[in-house]
Amino acid sequence: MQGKPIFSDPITRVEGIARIVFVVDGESVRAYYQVLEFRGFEKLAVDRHIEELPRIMSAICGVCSWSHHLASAKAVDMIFGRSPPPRAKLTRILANYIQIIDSHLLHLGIMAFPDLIYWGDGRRDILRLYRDYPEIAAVALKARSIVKHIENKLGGKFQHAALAVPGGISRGLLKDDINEILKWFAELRPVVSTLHKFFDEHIKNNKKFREALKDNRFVLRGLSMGLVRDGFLEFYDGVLKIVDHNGKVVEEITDSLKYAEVIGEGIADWTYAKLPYYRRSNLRILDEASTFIVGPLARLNVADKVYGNAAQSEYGEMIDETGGKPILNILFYHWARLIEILHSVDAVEDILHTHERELLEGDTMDLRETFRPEGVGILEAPRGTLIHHYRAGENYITTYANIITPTTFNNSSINISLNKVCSRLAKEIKAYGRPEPETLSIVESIIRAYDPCNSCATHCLYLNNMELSISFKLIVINSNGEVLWRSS
Amino acid sequence: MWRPRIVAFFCKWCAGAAAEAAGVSRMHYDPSVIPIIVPCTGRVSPEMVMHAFLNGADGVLIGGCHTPNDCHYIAGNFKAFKRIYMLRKLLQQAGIEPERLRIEWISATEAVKLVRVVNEFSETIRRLGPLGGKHA
Amino acid sequence: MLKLAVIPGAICGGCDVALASVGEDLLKLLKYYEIVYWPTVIDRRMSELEDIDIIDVLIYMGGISTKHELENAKKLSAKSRIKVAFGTCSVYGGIPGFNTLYSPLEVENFIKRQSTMHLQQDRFGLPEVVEYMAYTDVIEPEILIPGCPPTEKVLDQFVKILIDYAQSRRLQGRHILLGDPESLCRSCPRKPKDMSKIVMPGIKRLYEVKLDETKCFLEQGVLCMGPATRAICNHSCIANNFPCYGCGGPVEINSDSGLAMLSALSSLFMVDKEKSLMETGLARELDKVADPIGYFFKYTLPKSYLSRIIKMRKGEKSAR
Repeated sequence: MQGKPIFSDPITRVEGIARIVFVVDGESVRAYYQVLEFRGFEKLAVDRHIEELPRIMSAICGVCSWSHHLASAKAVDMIFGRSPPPRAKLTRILANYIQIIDSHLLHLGIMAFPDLIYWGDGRRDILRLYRDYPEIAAVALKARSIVKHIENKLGGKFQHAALAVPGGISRGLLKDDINEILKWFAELRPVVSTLHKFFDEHIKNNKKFREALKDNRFVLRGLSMGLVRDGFLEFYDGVLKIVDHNGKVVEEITDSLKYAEVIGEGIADWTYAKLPYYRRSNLRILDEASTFIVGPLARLNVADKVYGNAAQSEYGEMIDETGGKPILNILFYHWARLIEILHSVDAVEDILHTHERELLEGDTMDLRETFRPEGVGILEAPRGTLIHHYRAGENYITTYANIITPTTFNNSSINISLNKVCSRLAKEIKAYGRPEPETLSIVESIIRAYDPCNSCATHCLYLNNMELSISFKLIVINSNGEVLWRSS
Repeated sequence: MWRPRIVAFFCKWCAGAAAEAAGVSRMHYDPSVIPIIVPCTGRVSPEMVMHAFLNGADGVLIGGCHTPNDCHYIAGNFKAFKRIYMLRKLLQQAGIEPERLRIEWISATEAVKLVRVVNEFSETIRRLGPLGGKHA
Repeated sequence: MLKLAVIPGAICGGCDVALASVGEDLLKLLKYYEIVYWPTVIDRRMSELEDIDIIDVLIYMGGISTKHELENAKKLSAKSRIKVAFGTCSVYGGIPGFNTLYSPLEVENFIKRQSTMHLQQDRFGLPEVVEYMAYTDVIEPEILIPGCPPTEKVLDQFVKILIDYAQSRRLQGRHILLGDPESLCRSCPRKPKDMSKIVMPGIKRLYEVKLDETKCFLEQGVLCMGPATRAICNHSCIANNFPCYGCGGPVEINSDSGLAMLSALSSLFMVDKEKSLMETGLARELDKVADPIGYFFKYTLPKSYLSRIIKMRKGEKSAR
């Protein structure tokens, strides 16, 4: 490539650092969603005492650190041949649910709402939202504070927690702890109701949003993947189910060690994140039918039931809107996120009330020891399926680590979705010298729908010798590398 | 031509005294060694060792009193042993030859041993080559 | 209004969440500061930053892993009055700091071996990876905020400093390291009554033992970085019955907490059995620490003496 492209700054309101490059070649355009950051966790895990990985790996992401902590713990449990006793398992499940609620509320309140309310309308950031709807500001800040307190209680720190040990947890909850959590949780309910109402009034009733729900450019015919347990939406432990875009069940993985037979990981020279694909198809990476969709929408495609009346009712409404599953328009992610919040809130209440005894009594740790050279922990993080795969050698020293984060899974999908919406770009550049505002906002909306957490997806590394000078968000270049337009 | 530079921490009661005795008796030992007298090997901190390596030392030698009972301060030598043992593990893990760091017990009357150890160690460092960096 | 920018390096997002979680304090700050850049939360472009001549307060989060991040850090820091290294990655390198052990090429090959398909295409300007470093390796900031992520305790201090600065336009001190200038042990609820009689009875790795909820971890044979870690928190992990991992970094900015802990451990280790175990017995027990780098340097490797020796060594290799 010739020339010295100047790139725009990172996509805002997405964790981590990423950008989009559009390459215009005559009439056709190709989009590349590039993840620019590298921190090398798979390599640094090697040679570590494996029991220390749950805390080390939580540093992959500071928003969903609990998910990494717990997925890592599950893999480590397997290495020691351990099965956390009920008290430990339930505490971990509780922590996992709180993480889901935390992350989904954060996303809705701070990232999605501005996007959805000011659809196609200039500066769509949180400060504007808070000025126009101050009640949401108060509620979003409150939600954060409540969840932070509960997470502090469960893990010492609300992010990068100190809870999981091999085969269990560091300490069991006491009655006082549960009472405090209940107290905080009681304050969370009205917050969730306010956000639910806000969603109903301002988003479901937003004509433009409803139109977009029928827009074919937002459809991705990929493979939905998620955990299920007896047909229910499940986040901690279950069967990993994969359903194709016609609704056919293509995989049901019960043995987590076998994930690599089904999930392949590709790499491309233009991004630091990997590109997973379905191995049992004969397709390449970045082919729509071999790409995975994970996260709230995918989970609700593979599950049939959700917990609690509020969630059931929304789930039913969402399915009616589309006429059936699987739902493939990615804008439904936002709605799915709301459903998962409602499901999780009811599930947590159930745990705290009906299963209180289990949280308070019994062993906190399984201390048996049967060395297994390999362990795979699969769980559902807020953004989707998360896999931690380790191998250990003598003295329980890590010899290998492979981590596939939900954003990594969605990487291929994001790229494919972007390619669907930029077909007009070539014409727009030719006619106006710039993309139309609508194109730009659609592009951003796609990114927000998937809710990529790029800090997670960039734990791997790639190297190159090409010079680059700095950062823009979105850049259009031609096949000779000349910059046609950049967002600034 | 490169010559090894070695920093030696000798405790004054034992190895340091042995070094004195060797000097007074005109016993030759390798001049690559720069002796630093400390009250006790237990005083030698890991930072001092690392500092030496970072400032031109290709090897660090520590000479103290025999275990279990010769240490003037009761058990300073044991602390030194543990520290140096862990430091060697650390260096090895980081890809640096642990042989560059050695700890020996040499009593005040063992001038001969001191000379032997110093010469042996110098030979080891000569064989290993310079540690690296601008001083190499 | 003073201009405040939050610049992300190689981040995990936790520092963004921590800063945003100060809640009402943030609104207090907004009375004095205009946030001109904070990618996670607001919609501004880097080009707008380029148009600003002076940034009053630059908050840098994360370490530095690519050339792009390095250049950005240098360029923006040069025109900032007050530079803040926010979070342990920024101050000391943090957990990704383990990468200083490897060259980017080694890691690339490691990852390549794992992938099952490779798309060979243009890089479209994907930034080049550099040897990982902390923000403090690029510039000497005026304020250093350790913590993974920074705790409420240090964030309270930070907000006060920012408000004070906005009102007086003066900073009280240079290279201010937040947190209390003492080790975590000092205020620890598990501190043994007689500190001179602590004995570490062997090495117990976390998987070997169910941790006692009241006893000092070192006295249980479990490593706790408390003795070598700055008191930036209220023993949150310890309160959850988990030993300290040292995310607060060293007690003083220039000391090496990994070496300090190694030394402390050596002092306490089986002191009551030294003469009966002798060197071989002690060594055998110490061998249980199969990963001393991971044990002692989880958050501070890039700033440690060890890292400097490794760099020195590598420098020599490339010269040859």
